[in-house]
Amino acid sequence: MKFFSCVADFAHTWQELASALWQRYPNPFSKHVLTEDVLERHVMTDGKLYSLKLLTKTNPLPRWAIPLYNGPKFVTIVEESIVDPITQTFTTYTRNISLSHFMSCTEKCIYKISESNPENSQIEKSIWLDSNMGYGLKRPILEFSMSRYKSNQVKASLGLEYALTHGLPPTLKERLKLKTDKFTETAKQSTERISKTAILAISKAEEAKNKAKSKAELAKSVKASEG
Amino acid sequence: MDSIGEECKELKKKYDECFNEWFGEQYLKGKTTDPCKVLFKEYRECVHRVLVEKGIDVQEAYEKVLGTSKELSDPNKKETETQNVKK
Repeated sequence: MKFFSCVADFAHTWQELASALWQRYPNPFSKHVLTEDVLERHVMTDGKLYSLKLLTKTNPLPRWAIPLYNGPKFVTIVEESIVDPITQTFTTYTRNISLSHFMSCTEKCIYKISESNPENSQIEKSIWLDSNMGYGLKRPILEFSMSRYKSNQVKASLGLEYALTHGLPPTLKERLKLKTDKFTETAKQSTERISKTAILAISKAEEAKNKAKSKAELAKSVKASEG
Repeated sequence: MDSIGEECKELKKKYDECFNEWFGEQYLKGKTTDPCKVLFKEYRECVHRVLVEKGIDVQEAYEKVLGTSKELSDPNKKETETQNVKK
C-alpha cells in the first residue's frame, strides 16, 4: 500500500469553500467525471449533515493492463461526507467500489478554517493506494495509480478553484446583483436629484437676474425722469 | 452535473437547486430543517430505479466507513509528517 498526505490553503472563507464543494461539477477540468448523484442525505441528531454520493468517472487503463481487465469502461466511486457547521469542518471520504481488486484509491479530505488566517480555508488530504493483484503486477499498478492520482489531483484543484471563482452559488450571485441594482438605483436617484436642484438653481438665478434687470431698468427710468 | 439516469436529470436539477440554496443560506447559519425532503425522495427513487435497470450493484456503497473504525489510518502517524510516501 502507498500512503501520502498533504496540506494546501485556499484564499476563500470556509463557508465559500463548503458551498463550492457541492457545486464543483461540472467544470472545464472535470471531463473525466461522467455522472454525480446523491444516494443518501440527512441531518444527524447532532446537527451534522451526512451525505453519500455516487460518481462515475472514465477509466482509461494503461495499455498493458487492458488484457487483465474486462469490466465496464467507467469506475464507480462513493463519496461519504460529514459537514459540521459548528466546528466548521467538511470531511469527505472517497473510495472506488468497482475495479477495487485491481486498484483501490481511498482519499480523505478535511476542509477547515486555515490555521494561519481565519479568512482562508485549508485542506488536509490523506491518500491510500492499493492493489490486490499478484506481486509482479502490484508494483506497476501502484506506480500507474500514483501518476493517475497526481494528474487527477491537479484537475481537482483547478476545478474547485474554478467553482470558487466562476461558479458562485446562485443565491450569492443574486445578492451581488441586488447590491449592484440597488447601487445603480441610488446613483440614478442622485443624478435625478442633482439635475432637479440644478434646474431649480438655474431658474432661481434666472429669476434673480430678471429681478435685478427690472430693478436696474426701474432705477434707470427713475433717474431719467428725475433728470 | 449529469445524473446516472437520463430520466433523473430534471429531478436532480430541481433537488440540487433546492439543496444548494438551503445549504448556503440556512444550514450553515444554523437552520437544520431540510426543506428539500420531498424533492430528494422523488430524485432518489429515480436514481435507484436506474441503478437496478443498469445492473449496477451499489450495496457496497451503503457501507458506512467515514467516522467509523473502518476508516483507513495513517500508517506513519507520529513517525513522519506530511508529503511522505511510504511503499
